[in-house]
Amino acid sequence: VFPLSACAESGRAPAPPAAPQSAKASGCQRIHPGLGAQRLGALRQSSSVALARSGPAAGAPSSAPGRLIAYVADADDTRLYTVDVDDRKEIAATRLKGRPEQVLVLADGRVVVSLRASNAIEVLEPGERADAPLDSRCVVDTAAEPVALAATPDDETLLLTSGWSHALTAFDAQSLAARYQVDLPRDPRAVIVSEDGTRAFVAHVVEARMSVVDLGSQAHLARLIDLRAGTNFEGQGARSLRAGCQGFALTQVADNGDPRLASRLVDRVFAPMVSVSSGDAPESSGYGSESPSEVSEVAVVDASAERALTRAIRLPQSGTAARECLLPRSASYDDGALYVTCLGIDALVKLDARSLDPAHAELTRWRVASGPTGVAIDHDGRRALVWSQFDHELEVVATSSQAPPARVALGGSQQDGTKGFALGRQLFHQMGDRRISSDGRACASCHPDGHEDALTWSTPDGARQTPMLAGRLADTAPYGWLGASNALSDHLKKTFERLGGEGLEEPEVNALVEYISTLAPPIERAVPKTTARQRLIDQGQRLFESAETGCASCHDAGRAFTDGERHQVLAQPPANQVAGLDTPSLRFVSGTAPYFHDGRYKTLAELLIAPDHAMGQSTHLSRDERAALVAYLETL
Amino acid sequence: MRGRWALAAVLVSVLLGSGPTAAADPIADFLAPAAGLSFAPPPLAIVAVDLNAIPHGTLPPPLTEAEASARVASQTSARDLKLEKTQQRFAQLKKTALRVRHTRLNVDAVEISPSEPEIAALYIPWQGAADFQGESAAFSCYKGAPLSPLRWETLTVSPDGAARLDVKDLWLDGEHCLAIPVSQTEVAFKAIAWVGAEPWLFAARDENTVTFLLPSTDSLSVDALVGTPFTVRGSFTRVTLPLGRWGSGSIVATLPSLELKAAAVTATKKQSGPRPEPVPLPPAVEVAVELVQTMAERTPTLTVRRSLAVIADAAGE
Repeated sequence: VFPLSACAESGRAPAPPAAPQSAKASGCQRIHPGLGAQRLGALRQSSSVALARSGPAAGAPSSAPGRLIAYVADADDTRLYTVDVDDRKEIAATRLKGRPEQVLVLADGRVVVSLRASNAIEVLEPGERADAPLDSRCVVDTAAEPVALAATPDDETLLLTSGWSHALTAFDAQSLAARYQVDLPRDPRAVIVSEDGTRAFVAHVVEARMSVVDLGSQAHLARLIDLRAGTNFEGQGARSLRAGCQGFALTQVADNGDPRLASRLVDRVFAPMVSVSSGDAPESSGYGSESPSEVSEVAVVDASAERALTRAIRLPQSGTAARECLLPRSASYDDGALYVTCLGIDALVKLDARSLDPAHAELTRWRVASGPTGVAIDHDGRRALVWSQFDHELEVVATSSQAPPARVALGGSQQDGTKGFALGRQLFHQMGDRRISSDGRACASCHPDGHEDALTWSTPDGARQTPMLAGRLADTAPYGWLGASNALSDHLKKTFERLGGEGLEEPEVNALVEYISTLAPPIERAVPKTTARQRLIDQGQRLFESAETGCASCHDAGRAFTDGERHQVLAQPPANQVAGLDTPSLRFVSGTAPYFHDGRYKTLAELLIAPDHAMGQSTHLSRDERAALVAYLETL
Repeated sequence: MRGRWALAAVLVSVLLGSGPTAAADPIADFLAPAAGLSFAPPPLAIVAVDLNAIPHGTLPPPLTEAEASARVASQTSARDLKLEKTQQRFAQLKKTALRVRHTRLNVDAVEISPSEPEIAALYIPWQGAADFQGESAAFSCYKGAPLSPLRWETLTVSPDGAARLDVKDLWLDGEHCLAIPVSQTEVAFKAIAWVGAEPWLFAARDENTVTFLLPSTDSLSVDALVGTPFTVRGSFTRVTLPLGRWGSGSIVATLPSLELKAAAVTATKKQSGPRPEPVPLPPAVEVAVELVQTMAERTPTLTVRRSLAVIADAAGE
């Protein structure tokens, strides 16, 4: 039995996540308990880098401290690297069953890795020698797009978030048998567990919210904390709340039992994100109506009260936020300070955790190699370990000094990808590049992970919902809501123009095209044919393909669910849309709310019943028929 | 062009102590135009303040009109306040009927302000309001006029950095055109933030609130999650933030100067001669005061931060 709790405020119709597969979980336990490196302290939250400590060196007293070991998940490869942090060198590489996203060391020293594109987690066991590859113990199937892991304080339960399946799954930490699964709003990412083990806090990439899941009760109910804030100088009572995005990371106060620690913070959870004003009016001269439309934010949450303490964020006086951390990807806490890695500016920033607005209480900043996706803190050694995915370097940062980090290159010449891919990825995430946008935003600002920000932007063409890129580009020309570009490169150039950018040179545009064309889409696990849900999906497919509804006449399954044509779907189109709007592909449509070019429908169900558009014929369908149609759309 | 940007990127990274590691990288060369911005935002000074070290002191509630039912005994006006008739204001009234009515009732419009320049705020409190502004107040004198409360707060900073807020409550007696002192309370404040040796932020607290005194500003944002903050703006700024568990309060302000100074004596005469050159505005300082307490925390944390870069220009720090 896998109790599910649907979240009523979710932006999409909650679909039951695929039931976790426990049949393959046998043999996950340790074979040699106590052998090899052990977890460092009480680090129970995953990242792309995790820390452990090896046993004492041969001949040393048993009480002697061992070497600090870093496990690094290289998402470009199928390897997990073992690094001797003290010697600053790679000492082993373990071949995995898929590309790793994040890594967590369990209490008994086993290492769990999320294999994002493989819909699985892999459990590994260290041997006696730290410089030997780890032994694979088992691979466990998961809901689609497994990302972040956390262990409960009693180390009996392992939690996993799955982005595309919008689920939190609990596994038995010994056997890896699935215990239960909770349905969450879209795009869950980082997960942490309260110190008493009763609740899990989950970050969401979009929509400025955090889920709280009861772990102690049988129902495992999920609640939401609204993280939206206003800005200063708006006047009391008249504050309008801004939207949010880039909620990848999460961390919380941990005292580590050290009485010397300076701070006495308790029960604070920190959610790095970006506060967004996408515009109130449908049309604007740029994207969004405020300058800057995106501002760095770390929402501070009172864990006990389950309420955001941060109500107002500062808007920079300069009008640009380009130096800010606008693509935060991981976070860790240590002694009154937050450490956040920032893509786009390639930095590790140290923030004052005592502040209500930590993003604007920056203490120190270190430049790190490109693509910092993960950070782990060695509390004893006052070191931060940062994994920079794009440059394949692990950095060792002394957190008590401003000295530049020591760098350890990993993987040698094993890396996949071309120079075009590498340059394209850099450009996609590059903040403050005036050639791309006048306000310094990056492609990844609106397309986190190549997906979309769930926002509708005020643009010169009117209100426009951000489309998903990953898996939606092949065979879907022409591009843009007006279908104005047959080639992706041409569409990119026009996008830079709309954003006020000066434009990239041809080789750079080509590199960007190469990168976004290879963005991996999420892979939904196939639903067993015998289930009632499959029958519902089949019914929905018949409705979709019927002449009566007319869905398939434009959304052609043989052409990536588009027809490459423009259609008039508005009763009274504005002057610049008389020729109609391009038929968008319906690939992965279930995870891309809101819907319609102007984002007017929050859910697919809302779209199907709405009478104010001329898109297909679905208002006559019964409630059950619409549910079937939605079920089918969720499989595309 | 690209080479120049690459050189700039190298220089920036060297200045930041990060080493020019990306200089020979062809990808870095492509991306070099983005190096036009400096790497880090302007530095900040952040101070954590021990709330237990802040002196206790309670500001009395202001007088209310309901308390004015009994006439005050004294008929002596405060000597350090000056009352000046501003009859010409009625002549400026657009509605003739109103002007005539005031004239017929023999109404005098009076402005009350401190006799000497001082760091002060002077305002007429009214119930339910939480934001007051002024260094002088206007009221009307005529037969049968009611009593109105008046509050006058003056800040004195001693050379050793200690500060004292004198809170004087008075009745404005419109019938006799007097400002009659009722009570005076002295509250000691402690400096909690400095520029060099000069304090610019002071605090005092009681069981339920923390009160901050800072320089004058027109750009002030005050917020509290639990309770209502109270602000007074004169030639200094007073903000009282409520204390409470699972609460937070903040002050964000842009200050033209961190110097606490008395208001200039009002100059009403027009200057003759050539128009003076406009004086450039001094760089502003952005400051924030934040008070945070979760349900589980035994005491709130209090932090003060201010932008450093503009201070360096303004105060030679």
